[in-house]
Amino acid sequence: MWEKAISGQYVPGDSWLHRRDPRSKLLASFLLLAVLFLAEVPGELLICGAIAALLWHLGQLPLAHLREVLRPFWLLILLVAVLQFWWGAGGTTGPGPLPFLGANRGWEAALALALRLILLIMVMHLLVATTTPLQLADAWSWYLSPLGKLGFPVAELVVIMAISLRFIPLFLQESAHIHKAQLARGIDFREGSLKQRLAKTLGILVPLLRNSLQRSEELAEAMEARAFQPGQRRGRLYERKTSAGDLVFLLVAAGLLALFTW
Amino acid sequence: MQISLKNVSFTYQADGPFARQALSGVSLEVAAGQCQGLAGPSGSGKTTLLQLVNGLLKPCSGRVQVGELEPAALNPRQLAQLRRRVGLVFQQPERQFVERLVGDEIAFGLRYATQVPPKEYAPQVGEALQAVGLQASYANREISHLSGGEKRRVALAGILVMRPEVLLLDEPTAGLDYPAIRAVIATLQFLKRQGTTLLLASHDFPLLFELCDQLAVLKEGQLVYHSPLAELGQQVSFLQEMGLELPVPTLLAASLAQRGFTPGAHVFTDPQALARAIREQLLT
Repeated sequence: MWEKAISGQYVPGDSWLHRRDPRSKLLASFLLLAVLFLAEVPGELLICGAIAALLWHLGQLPLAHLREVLRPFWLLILLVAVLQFWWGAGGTTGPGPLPFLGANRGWEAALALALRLILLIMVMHLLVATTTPLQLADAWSWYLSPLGKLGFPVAELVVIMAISLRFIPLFLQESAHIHKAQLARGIDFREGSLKQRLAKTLGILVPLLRNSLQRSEELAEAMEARAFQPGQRRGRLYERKTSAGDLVFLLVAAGLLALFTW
Repeated sequence: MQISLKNVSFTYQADGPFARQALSGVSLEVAAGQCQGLAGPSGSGKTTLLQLVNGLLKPCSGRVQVGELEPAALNPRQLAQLRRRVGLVFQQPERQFVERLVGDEIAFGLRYATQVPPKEYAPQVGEALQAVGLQASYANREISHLSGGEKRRVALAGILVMRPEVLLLDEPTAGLDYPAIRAVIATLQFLKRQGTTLLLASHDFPLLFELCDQLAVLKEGQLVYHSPLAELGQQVSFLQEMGLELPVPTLLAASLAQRGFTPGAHVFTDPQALARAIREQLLT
């Protein structure tokens, strides 16, 4: 098990958000992403923030989890905000509210961009944290099914997508495990010349690549052993069900998009 | 080097939705040169305990000490130095091989974690191979051509080449066939004779009974049993209640002892040894 939580990890649960049809969750998430890109004034962003906070609550995810989810992105968010502050739009449209910020309103644009990125990560995390990879792949297959009539290999694409999503945490877990194994041998990755450090990093990459190839081969054999055939029509264990809650969720997301576009 | 854990607790992802307490208030002392067995069902915290001793994890509360050092209080450089003295062999270590040839794989740690001059690599690799019961000529063989048991021993040699004073082993015989298990046991017995402190986490009771001086049992992160191996015979029913599957000869010997017939002082895992002891007891 990992010592820390990771972004994009499915969190088992039975919250309101967990119970939503994956198709409506997928569509609503994309609508909310569009809303986030359209939100410009601080008021609009605050509405988005309130919606994201409400969804976080509806997904029954603890607040401390948000810190863990955002942890790998802080540097990126800070960098983007600083770049926006110095070189981005914002201009010198008036005095700022705090004396040390001077007349430059770039800070406002930087803050808005940082908030937008945080909300974007929150929305995407909410989608994958409350939807299993298999449900997500199923939702994609439903949306892409019309392409199947044109000869597009939807089923294969969806299987690849489902397996890839399933393998991301396994891949991370494996790399953390190998990293630990090398640390346990007394390898200090910060020690030595650049060449030595590269060689030490290979100590993680080589077994990781070999194990991944081995795992994918084993998986392919296991799938064949269970009579998997590409292109064959597949059934589903669980029936898709759309409820009033799904409709409300979609309507709110679509309503916000309409409001912000207008 | 002795190992000491005082009231140690550890929780994975402590502040997230996946928070899981792996260890709770565990205290354990292992004297230098002793072999301490760690048993318990899967998920009972054995691997976590080993990683705390090696400094890969920091306890959420309590104190871990190895010799005079406290891994949680060391900086990364000091930790790397400690880990060279406290080797940890992970489960299925052969999945972490980096090199193509056996010799290069064993020397990997020497090259990147020590100041040993390169001309010393070959003799030290030879010694490590000898310690795991493989010939020095194995150094030039391709790892991919080795059997599962040989690979496990090469992985063990990769740790032994660092000459650790403490060796932590996580399920060292898992997935191996009988001859390979015997070879691993022979290697560990050799290390024990050399005075290496061993902390051995395993489900394999014959292995634990053959090697260990003390046995500790973890259940759901708590230490529920810790006693010298010689006293295990009296605790068989308690250990069974803890969900441990003890070898049939051990259970039979304990059952006989309960009925006033004591076949011997030590713990039996081998049916033939038990049969011999019973015969001797009957003849006397």
